[in-house]
Amino acid sequence: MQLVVRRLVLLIPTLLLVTFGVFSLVALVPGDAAVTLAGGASATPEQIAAVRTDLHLDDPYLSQYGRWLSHAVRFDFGKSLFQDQQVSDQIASKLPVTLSIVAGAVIIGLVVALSVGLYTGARHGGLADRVLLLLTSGGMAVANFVLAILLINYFAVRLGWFNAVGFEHLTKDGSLNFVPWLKSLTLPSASLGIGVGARLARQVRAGVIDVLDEPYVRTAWAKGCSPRRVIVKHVFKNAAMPSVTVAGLVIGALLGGTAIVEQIFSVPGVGQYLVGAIALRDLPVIQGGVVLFVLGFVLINLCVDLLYGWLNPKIDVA
Amino acid sequence: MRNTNQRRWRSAVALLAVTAVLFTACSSDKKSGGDGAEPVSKADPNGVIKVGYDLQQENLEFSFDPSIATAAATANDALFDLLFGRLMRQNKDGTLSPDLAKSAEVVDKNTIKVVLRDGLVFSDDTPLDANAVKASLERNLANRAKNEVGFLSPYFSLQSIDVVSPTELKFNIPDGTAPSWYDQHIGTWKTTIVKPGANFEEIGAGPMKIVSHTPGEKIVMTANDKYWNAKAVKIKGIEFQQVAFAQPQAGIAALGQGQFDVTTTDPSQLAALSGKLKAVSRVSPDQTATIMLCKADGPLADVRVRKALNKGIDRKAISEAVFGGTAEPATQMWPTGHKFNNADVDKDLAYDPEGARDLLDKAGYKDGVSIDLYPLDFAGLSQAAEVIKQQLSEIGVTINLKTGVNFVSDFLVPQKHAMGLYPGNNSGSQKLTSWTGNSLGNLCKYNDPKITDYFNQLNSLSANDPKAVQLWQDAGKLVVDDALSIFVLFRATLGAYNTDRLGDMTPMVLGQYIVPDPFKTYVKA
Repeated sequence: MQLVVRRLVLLIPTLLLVTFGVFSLVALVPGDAAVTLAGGASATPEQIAAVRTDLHLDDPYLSQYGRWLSHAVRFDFGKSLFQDQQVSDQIASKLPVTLSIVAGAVIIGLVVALSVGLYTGARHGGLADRVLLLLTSGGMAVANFVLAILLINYFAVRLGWFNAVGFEHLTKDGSLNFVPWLKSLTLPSASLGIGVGARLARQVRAGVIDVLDEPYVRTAWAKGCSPRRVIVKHVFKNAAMPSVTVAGLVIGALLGGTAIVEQIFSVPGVGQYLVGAIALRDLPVIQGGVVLFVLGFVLINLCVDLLYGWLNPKIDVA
Repeated sequence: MRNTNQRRWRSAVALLAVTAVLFTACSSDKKSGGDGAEPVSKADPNGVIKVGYDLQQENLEFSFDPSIATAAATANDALFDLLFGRLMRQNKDGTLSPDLAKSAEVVDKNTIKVVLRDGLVFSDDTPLDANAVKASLERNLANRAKNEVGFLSPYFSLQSIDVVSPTELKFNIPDGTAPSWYDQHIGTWKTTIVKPGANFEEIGAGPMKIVSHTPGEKIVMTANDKYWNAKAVKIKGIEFQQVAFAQPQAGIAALGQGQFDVTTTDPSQLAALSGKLKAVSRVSPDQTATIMLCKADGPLADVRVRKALNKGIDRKAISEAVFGGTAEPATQMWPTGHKFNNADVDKDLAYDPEGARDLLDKAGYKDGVSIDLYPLDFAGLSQAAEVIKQQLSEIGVTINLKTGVNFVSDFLVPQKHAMGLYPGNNSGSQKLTSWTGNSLGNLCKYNDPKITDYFNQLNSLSANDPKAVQLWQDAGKLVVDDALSIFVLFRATLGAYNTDRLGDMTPMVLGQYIVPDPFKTYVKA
């Protein structure tokens, strides 16, 4: 409980720092939303000036940030400059889509990591270990957007098992749409999850190899425990500790990694929304998206710290 | 132990070899050619066309409400046409055919008369009469503060609409620009007629009606049997599924998989089309690739340099290299063969590297000249800029390509004294705003009273007026003689479609993307 409270209190200066930093970056980056709103090449200087005044874009920079902050503390991120819609409403509607993909990627990543990591750790030095090491290297080396295109070309276009683009919501017209939803998640989640799994598999493998040499493990073998009991009960919890740290970082990065994958699969998630906003310099949307990702990252790392405590009760996570 | 390991290695190698053979055997040869001519097939009366379409367009999410239209509405003109129909429908050759109106004509410089068909209704049986038209257009006019970006200011020359009878209206345009207003608006989404009422509803009187609309994701339409010409529609329905046009390979993959029947694409994907997937293109005289020039000072102030730059560009080579041969070379405002094209000057700025070098020499740049070029990264223009750079280097012009910058804020807003390659979309007299007026598109505020005079005169004339033809030709000669821009290409909008599914694939005339014409395209039985 102490840990949770302390982390939530530390979240406030983190959010302030990050949102101020992003606000400054957007102000520095070339581009002017007012020109786009006024009509681009067909806009006159007077029209551009009118738009700027209307949206307070010509106010001092700190004053603009202060105005945004005074609303943001009430979770009111304002309206998109380009659409007549509240940013928080848009993010709320798109967040379940992104979370579905991230959750799918985490599940795929963990399945790959644990199965490959435990298997290769237990049989390190053998043929299977070498082949799987090669495959995990490939999984780490290939960028997720390249993997996405390869998966589309093979599983969607060639085999026809999945749709190439698009997303099915979990509910449709009031009824459950589970199978189409799951199918539409599979390729985007796999594009992200395979890379995660490959990275974590290496960590798990290294942890298992280290722990296998421990005296308590040799004792377990000597007592006649089955390989499954030795690995799962005695080796896994201790081998997982360093992997949990890496998992927290890698999974936190998944939130940002969804942006490109959502573009490729034309999935209506927060990542795609944010990429479009950056291109247009739609500041309220950018700030809203940033707050969401920071919150997500902090929460994930909080979960990682709590998981330490569960894996090894001797550690004082507070 | 060693024998066991050796056996394992042999097994692994054998397994890999078998897998490789299986992969090779299973890979299909996609290179099958057609004989070019499509055999005529029977149409499926219940056919539904699935279109891959970018409904998000970088967060400018598409809305069917014309009164809040952003600039995205012009790009999506075809969708408005499907749902709402229009008073007059534009044909491929630029002429207009009656749709909801049985006639629309310019009475004089200040008046347009529109006569509706009898018995028109919206898809929910609400009558579409003169009062509905009046209410619809007044709704657009009332919202000027929000929608001028989409409609553009010439639209608001329409000051009022009078109802003469249940099927007859008079549009009042006091500033005398009724003829050009007619040309620019009567056949476009800007005169969309929506169902009257306090709140906007996605209900129209066009060939299709909406079954469901998930903003940014999917639009499902079915044939509107209340449409006055419903019998001419060849399909039962049409569905628009979101695909990001910024990821053209995704659209082609979905097309190949069967998720779409047709989608818009870009030149980079043409090589990926084979077998049942074919390209379709639509060239428009209003969609151009043009280089705007700041003529205020420096080398670009000299007409000889501007002409040399025009003559140094091999437009056909750019079309072949970047656009798969689908774009048409441009040497003036209107394409060769168009009634407004001035045939006498059509070749004046054509590719002639020797002539270009000669002009540069006379202008005092025998040893070369260096100029900055800002290309807008859209629809292959960045690649075209690379080709232009290489071509101009052969006549002694060093082009400094400014890539990775924001075209509007880094070039247009500061009005850089340089060149900018951009995709023009202006129609009619608006084409002349590149060299007159106060918009950012008139780079460095070029001011020639003759151009301004042509602009004002053309605004008060219909495109069918013989005087307009002469004026355009005179304006064209002036623009070419002074080489006010570098004309590169008339761009084609590119699409790809599945020939196994669609017959007589014909794109709708308006809009920036490929949408199949429901009066021509059909689903094969």
